[in-house]
Amino acid sequence: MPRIGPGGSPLTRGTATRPATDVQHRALVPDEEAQQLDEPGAVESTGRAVGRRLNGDRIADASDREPLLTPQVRAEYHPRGTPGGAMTEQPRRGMRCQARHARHPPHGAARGAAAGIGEHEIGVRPPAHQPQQRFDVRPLDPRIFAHELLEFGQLHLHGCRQAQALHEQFVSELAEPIFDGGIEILDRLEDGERDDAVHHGARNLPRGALLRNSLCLTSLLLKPMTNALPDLKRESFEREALVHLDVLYRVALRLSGNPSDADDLVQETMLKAYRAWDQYEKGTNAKAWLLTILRHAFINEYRRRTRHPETVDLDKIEPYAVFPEVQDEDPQGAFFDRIVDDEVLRAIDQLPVAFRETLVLSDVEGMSYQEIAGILEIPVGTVKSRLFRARQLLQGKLYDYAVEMGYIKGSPA
Amino acid sequence: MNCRECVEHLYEFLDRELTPELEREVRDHLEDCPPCGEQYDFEELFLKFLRARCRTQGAPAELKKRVLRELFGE
Repeated sequence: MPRIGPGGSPLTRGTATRPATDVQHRALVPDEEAQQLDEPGAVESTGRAVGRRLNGDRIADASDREPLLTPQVRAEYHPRGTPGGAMTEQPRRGMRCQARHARHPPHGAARGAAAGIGEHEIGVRPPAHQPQQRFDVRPLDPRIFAHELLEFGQLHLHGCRQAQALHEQFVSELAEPIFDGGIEILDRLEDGERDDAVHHGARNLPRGALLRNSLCLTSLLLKPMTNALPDLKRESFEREALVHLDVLYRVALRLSGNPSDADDLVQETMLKAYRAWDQYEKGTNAKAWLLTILRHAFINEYRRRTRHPETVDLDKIEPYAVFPEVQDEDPQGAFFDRIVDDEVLRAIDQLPVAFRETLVLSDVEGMSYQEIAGILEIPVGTVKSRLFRARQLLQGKLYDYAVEMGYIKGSPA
Repeated sequence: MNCRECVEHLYEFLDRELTPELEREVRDHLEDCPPCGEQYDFEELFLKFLRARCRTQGAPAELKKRVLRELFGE
């Protein structure tokens, strides 16, 4: 859950870079709700690291961060370095919330707003080591609240290995759209874990910072998330899946043997993949995952169409080594260079499908034995032997062709 | 490692799929044995040739549009 980010308030950054989302959130959280949260007394200042963030390897203390919405900040907005390096270039939360203010003058201002999620509570004497500051008003921005809650959930999950992995992945992949990333990670968690994290976050927020109505809280948290999902889904799908369109097309073309079927196969694969996108563990191996789907789609279609599936006894195919044949005449294999693309593809298409798919995945798409084994659902040893024979067989075909064309003397086997 | 074993492992060597120990053995043999070294060059060239010939093609622009349209209604 969580949002984590290499520094900076995710929320701030997220909203700064995604105005559309911002609007969405604002629209989703009615002002009454927001006001509820603002109620004085709802927050009991703790002054401790209410809003922590996971920042790289360390958990930054709240004191690293900017106060949320201080009058000073609003009055004298200017980028200012923070120990965490956060938010120096970004517009501050306060900037936007100022507008809110104008519409809803905070009640109980001096006593401290419920928004305590942040670092320094309003009206509370700051820790002795900090310069005296007065924070009058701090209306709760529900988005900030949701964000802080997520952080707590993440803190909790951080102890688990999975959370750690997600966190690292998230930091490396999604440094920028941090808030979105938080949602995305939330989305990746199993239902149970998600609830666990949310509840943990709720339990462990400083008492005063908690909404008294946990239902309200949950809806605050979940509403914007649920609503933000389609966009995120599309975004991550484009980033991780659509970039493999060329690979899918090439493999589809070799499997199906013609461009029109390849188109359909790719189309079907992408649709299935998009529908099942939630099941894909983001950031793992989208290419292999997509190819597995493509292959299944191909097999189903192939079985449907042909009553007599290919019945080649692979073990009876006896490839021969070409190198000994050309060792004297053309050990550098210069004759290969004279063979054009189409001829090579045609030779590949003549291979039995089990050899063809192995060879294409390995030699054209550069996948590892392990990946191929996963996609084709065969042992790694079988990948090796198929690959060995597929290459020999293909070399033999190309050699025969070269001899036929007079590119090399030799003698067709 | 003898020539037969070396040739048996040649593809795995080229694919970088051997264990470090076996990889070292194959490399040592290739350095010491010119015929196997030649075969290595030949097979390496073949794989490069294959990759170059088969990767020129990508998904047609029309297909990309079709997929986007289908997925996102564009």
